Order: sequence, then C-alpha cells, then structure tokens
Amino acid sequence: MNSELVISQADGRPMYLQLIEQIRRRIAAGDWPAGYELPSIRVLAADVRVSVITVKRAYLELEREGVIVTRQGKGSFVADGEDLGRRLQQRELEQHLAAAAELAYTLGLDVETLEARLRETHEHIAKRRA
Amino acid sequence: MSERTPNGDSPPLRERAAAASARAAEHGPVIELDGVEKSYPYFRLQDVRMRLAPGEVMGFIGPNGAGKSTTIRILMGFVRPDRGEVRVLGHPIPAAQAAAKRHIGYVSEEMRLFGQATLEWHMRFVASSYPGWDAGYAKMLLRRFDLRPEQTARRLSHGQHVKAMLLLALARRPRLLVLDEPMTGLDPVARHEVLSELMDIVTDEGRSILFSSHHTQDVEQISDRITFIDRGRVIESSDKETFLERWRRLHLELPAGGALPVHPGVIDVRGGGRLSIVTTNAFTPELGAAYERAGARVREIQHMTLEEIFVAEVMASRKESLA
Amino acid sequence: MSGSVLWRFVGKDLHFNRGFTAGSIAIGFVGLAFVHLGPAGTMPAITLLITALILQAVFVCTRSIVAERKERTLAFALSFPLSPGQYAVAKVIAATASFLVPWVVLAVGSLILISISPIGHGMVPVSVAAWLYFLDEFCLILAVSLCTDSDTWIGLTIASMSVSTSFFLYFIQRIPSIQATMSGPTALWSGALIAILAAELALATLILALLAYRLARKREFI
Repeated sequence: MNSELVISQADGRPMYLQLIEQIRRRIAAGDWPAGYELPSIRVLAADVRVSVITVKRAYLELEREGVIVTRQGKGSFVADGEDLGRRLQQRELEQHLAAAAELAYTLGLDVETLEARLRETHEHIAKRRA
Repeated sequence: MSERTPNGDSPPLRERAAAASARAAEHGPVIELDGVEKSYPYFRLQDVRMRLAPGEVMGFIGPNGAGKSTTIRILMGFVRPDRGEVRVLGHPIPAAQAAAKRHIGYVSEEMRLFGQATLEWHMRFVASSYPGWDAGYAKMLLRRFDLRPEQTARRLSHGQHVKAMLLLALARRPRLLVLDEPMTGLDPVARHEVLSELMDIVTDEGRSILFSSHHTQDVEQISDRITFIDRGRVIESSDKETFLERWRRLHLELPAGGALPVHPGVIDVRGGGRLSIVTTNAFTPELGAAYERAGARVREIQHMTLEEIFVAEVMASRKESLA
Repeated sequence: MSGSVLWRFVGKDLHFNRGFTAGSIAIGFVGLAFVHLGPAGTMPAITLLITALILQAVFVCTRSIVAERKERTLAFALSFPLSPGQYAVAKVIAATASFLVPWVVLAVGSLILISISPIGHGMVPVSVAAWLYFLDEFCLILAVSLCTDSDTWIGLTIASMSVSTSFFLYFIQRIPSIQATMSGPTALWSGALIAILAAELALATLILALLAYRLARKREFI
C-alpha cells in the first residue's frame, strides 16, 4: 500500500469518517472494483498512521452498509453487487440534498423557491458539461 | 494432579505450568495496574488502574504533574508503589522487573545517554544486552532519522538525542514500548518519521505501545486506548473510538423564554439568550431528541477533538473539586 | 541473563573510568619518585600519593554514580534488564575495582620502595595502616554517593576526607609504641598497630553493611 488514503488534521470530522468517505469514493470512482481486496486493518493503520481501532471501526461501518465484506481469515473485499459505485454516489447525493434542505429551512425558503434554485443550478451545470 | 512428588509438582506438571505461564505472558494483558497508590509530600497517586492488551497502542494523557511519569516509573520498576499490584508482560513488578525489561523499550523525554560515549558505542552496548537486537533495522533507522553513529551523545541536539534514544529502543524489537513524552522537542518532520515507525511496529499484533504525551493530536491519531490522568487519579481509561464518540458539542436554539432542560452528562453550557452550546460526555442520539422534545432546535452536533475533550475534562474535574 | 548485564555494566564503568585510573596511577608514581630525593622528598611524595588516591575515590564516585543521576543517564541505565539492586551492585563493584587498581599498584609500589630504599622497614606497619585508612575513606564516599543526592553531603564528605587524613597521619605517628619503632630498621607490629588495622577493617565492613542495608530498603531509584 502506498498511501492511497490520507487523514487530514484540518478536517473537522472524526478520522474513521474520513476513512469511510475516502474508501467509498475509491469504490464509487471504480478504482476499487467489486472483489478488490482491501489492505488489512493493521497495514492500512500503519500506512495512514492512524490507530488500528479507527480503521477497524471504519471497516465495520462499511461492512454494515454492505459496501465491503470481510471473510474470516481471508481479509476484506469490496462487495459484489450491481452498481455499488452508483449506489454510493446516490447516497452521497441524498446527503447533499438533506444538507441543502436543512439550510433552506433555516433561511426560511419555501419548497417552490428551493426547487427553482435547484433547477437553475442543474441547468447551469448541464450547459457547462455540454 | 495425581502424580505428585513430596517436593512439589512432578516435572511434567511443572513444565506444563511453566508453559502455561509463558502462554499467559504471550497473550495476557501486557500491562496490568491495580489499585496502585504512591504518596509523596506534595503529590499522591490514587488507585491507578490500567490495562493494555497485546497489539494495542495506549495514549496516556494528563496535564503537567498529573502523575504520568510516576505511573510509568512504577510500571518500569524504578519506583516501588506503596500499595497495589503491577504486572508487565505477565511479570510481577518490581520483583521480576529484570525479566520484564528484557522485552521493553523505554524512552523518556528527560533521560539521557552516556554523554562521553558515541551513538555507535551505545548501539553495541544495547545490542550486547538484548538478544533481539536487529542490526539491519538499526542501520535503517540511522538513515531514516538522519543520525551519525560516530557522534558522542553530548554533541547531539535535543531532537537528535530523542531520535537516538528511540533508535536504541526500537532496534531491540521489544514486545512493549514505553515512551514518556517522546515527541517533545521534535520538529514536525521528525515527529512524522517517529509516528510512522511506531505505527509500523504495531503491524505486528504481538507488539504494544504505551506512550504519554501532551501532544493530543499524536495521541488521537495513533492510540487504540486512551487513559486520562489528572492530579494522581485515572479519570478515564477506555478505547479511543468509544471515548471520542461519547463527547459532543450541541448547538441548540431555544424557543423564546424557554429554559434548557437538565440532562446527565452535560459538562458545560455556554451562551445565554436563545442560543446555547452544550458539551456532553454521555452523548447518544436520544439526547438530541430529548432537547427537541423540550422545544429546543438542534442546529448542529459537533464531534470534539481529543484536545478539546482534554481541556473540557480537566476543567470540569477542577470545577467539581472546587464546589 | 541479567547477571551478564550486571557484568556488562561493570565493564562499562571501568571503561569510562579508565582515563582517570591511569591518571591517578601516574600522579602516584610521580609521588613515589620524590622519595629518591631523600628526606626533602618525603612530604611531596606523601602529598602526591594522598592526592592521587583521594582524587581517584572522588572521581570514581562523583563521575560514575552522582553524575549518572544528575545527568539523567540513570533512567537509561535502569531500562536495561536488571533490577535497581543489581544496578547498585554493579556500581559498587565497578567503583571499588576502579579504586582498587591504583590503590593496589601504589600500595605495592610504596612498600617495594620502602624495602629497597634506605628508609628503615619500621615504616611498613604505619604505611599499611595509612593505606587501609584510604580504603575506609573510599568506602565512605562510595556509600555517601550511593545514598544521597545532596551536593552538601558529598562536599562535606570530600572535605572531611582530606582533613581527617592529615589528622590520622599526625596522630598515628604520636602513638608511643609506633613512634618508638617507626624509624627503626625492622617492621614491628605492636599491639596498638594491630588494633588500628583491625578497627580500620571493621569500619570498612560496617560502612559497606550499612550501605547494603540502606539500598535494600530504598523504594525510589529515580
């Protein structure tokens, strides 16, 4: 392993969440395909210089989400499953939408305004990509 | 148990017992402290309990003069406790400290090498006392730590001196590393090097590390367990994730004229008016829900760094003792 | 295993002390050489011999015992696989050996010198008493160095060592039975002299026994 993952001290989130997110991204981007063997907990810990228990926790969480599977004595692998990458991206979208809705609520925007703003942004991005 | 000689256990039984105790030493706790007490004229260590399992890294934190170094001296056998039981790698301390120290690498910020001797002399001296000395690893560490073996210890800068001591401890390939404030005075690059070495060590599941530090960021990064000591008492000793998970800061918005309901585990409340910031050491999602039911709106739930927890914990315990 | 570590520690101290050991022997030999000047050389000779031995005793104890604590190398030493008791034993052995080397060399040298020089053999018993007195002084500073961190106590011990040596040499020569035979041609071991030698040996044993008792009860080594 050569430090494919990085822990940031400036990132306010706990280290295990940073690990989870970076692993999810690797999988979503297709860098780590289904069946890909993840580094062992102790190797990854030494690699990113983070405690074993933190990596263990990240792996457990990913296992619970069905993103990875751990086979006793064999190691951890990226879960098979149709469109895992896509599913992870969907989940990320949900999180961002929830955050946006939360902010809109705080600002006192109604659903119609929020919808209009979202449509505007979407069109803007579609234009740029085209 | 049937085949006993008048002198005690029969040889096979004795062998079996020896093998069992060797196994216990391999797999049992690496460090066990129970009810350890030690009184000095102006300081008292009280009922210190601590457990470290093989393969774990324990961060030992506390303010200056909290008792970290005294505890470490007790478990190294340098100081005899007034009361309590100490076992390291299965050996009772201080009685069997020589046997235990065969597998311990100890570095303390305040210890010094023999000033008149060179680093090379030290390496030979340590190598001759430890069968596990790894000359190849020592050579690699010399390069990695940028040290010159022909230099006398007296001429080393503080940072070089610390790295030299770490080299001598690491190249013994000890089963337990005991580090008392090892990072003090190291520049960021050296600290990074040292942290990498420490993490490399625990890729081997049989090796463990106890290290005390003021540098909470280092502790937070590499520890599996955290033991927190203040004024001679262990306030907390638990696995790091659970420990960090329990501490949260909640930003609450109260309805006009509303009062903040009281919940157990709340350490600190800041702010008046409608916005309050609550610090808790007993967080569960239920706490947020309880505030919401009481009419407050939870605007944000923040994780806390070990540094923030450290300060909050010490402040809270001091406030308590003043009350 | 921890036994061999103990001997390695003894070897380490002998190695660190070697320069001073050689220096003390050299100073002592210069002193012995003064004897050839006849009566005029006696005082400088005795002074240099005393200087060499006191310097060695003080150096060995302050450099390898007191300094190890003060320069904080003690924690490093105690991290090795040996108990604090074994560490203290190694210190006692190494310091004693480092002191005994010049002590034996110079004592034998001075006795040979007496026997081949025109000085009468009547000096031999007094010399032996003086050499044993140096040994007692060494035991004292060794014990003090191992038992206290206080500069005051160590300083007082060193000061009292040089003062008491002068008193000792003054008074022993004024004991009638010794005074009568000192400048004679043959060595006469009077009852008073034998009693002094016995007292000196008893004192050394007592100091070492007290030291062992004190170290066995010690609870803190750093």
